[in-house]
Amino acid sequence: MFNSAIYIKESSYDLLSLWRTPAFFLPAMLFPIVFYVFFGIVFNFSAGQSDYMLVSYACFGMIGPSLFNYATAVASDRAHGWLTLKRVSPMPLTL
Amino acid sequence: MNANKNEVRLHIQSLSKCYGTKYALNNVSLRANAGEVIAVLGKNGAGKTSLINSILGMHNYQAESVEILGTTFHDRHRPTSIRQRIGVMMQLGTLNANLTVAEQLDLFCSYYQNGATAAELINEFELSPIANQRFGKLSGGQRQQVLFAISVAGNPSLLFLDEPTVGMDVEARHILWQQIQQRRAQGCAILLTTHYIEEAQRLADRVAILRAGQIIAEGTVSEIIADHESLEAAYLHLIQEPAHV
Repeated sequence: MFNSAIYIKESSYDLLSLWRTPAFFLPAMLFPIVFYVFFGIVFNFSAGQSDYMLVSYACFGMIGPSLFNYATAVASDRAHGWLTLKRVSPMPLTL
Repeated sequence: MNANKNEVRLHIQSLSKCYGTKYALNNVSLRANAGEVIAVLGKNGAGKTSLINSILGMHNYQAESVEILGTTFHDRHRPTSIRQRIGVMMQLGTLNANLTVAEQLDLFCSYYQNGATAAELINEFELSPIANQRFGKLSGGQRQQVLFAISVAGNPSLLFLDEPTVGMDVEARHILWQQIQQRRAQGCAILLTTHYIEEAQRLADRVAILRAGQIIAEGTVSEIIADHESLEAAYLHLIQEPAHV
């Protein structure tokens, strides 16, 4: 129970931190939307292409940040000592 | 926090740490009782931060014995129950730049089962003017204040302060000194590393001087000063002497 409260708080603050980082937020949100508008709506030449593109770019939007931003964020936290401070705190090791 | 002044909070014997072939720490022994401030002085690279990192189990080390808060450790693993009772302020530490001070405190306070709340810390350390500012926008001194508040979030029995007043102005430094003295009065054992002799003289019950990974002198401020004019003169003399333990 105690740990689950920490998990929720940690996750919500992590998301809040990302939301406040334009370098992360804009590419992660704008790219899939712009690609979908461009290829799924403007250049929509066949029936069903729009639906197909919607699913494709939704996946792209979810996978993109996890592939390209996760490691950078961890490396940055580590370089700045943020992770070191967490390691010596009683934060659950599973986080 | 009621504490017996003779209660041993930290006791390390013959602790050594090697980086490759270089000894960062060589047979260091140290003891800190409840309500006592131990200041560790030494040049850059003398081993002050390595000493704290070794005690915290941040890296492997060799030691005859490492006893923290009554528990003896034979490896670098420090269980959560011990980390709940330890506070740490890292040298030039930092936090998530995009979260506000209040959010950072709220997050760290949630790690401690019997700690203070974010509101209590904001009130105690008079952080309300900067509580809604993002950590990345704070000045160096303000950051140090927040990091100190976080280090005491769990009402620690043992506190490690690694150069806590670096980058602080005179006023902020005096406020932090008062807060350290307040923690000591409550029975917290404090291991403080610093380059400021005045800070050590003002705060420390005992001083240990590290040179090239070895403690070359240890005692009360008056014992270290001995025949010298001041602690600074004694320190400068001791770190220039040929090696002896």
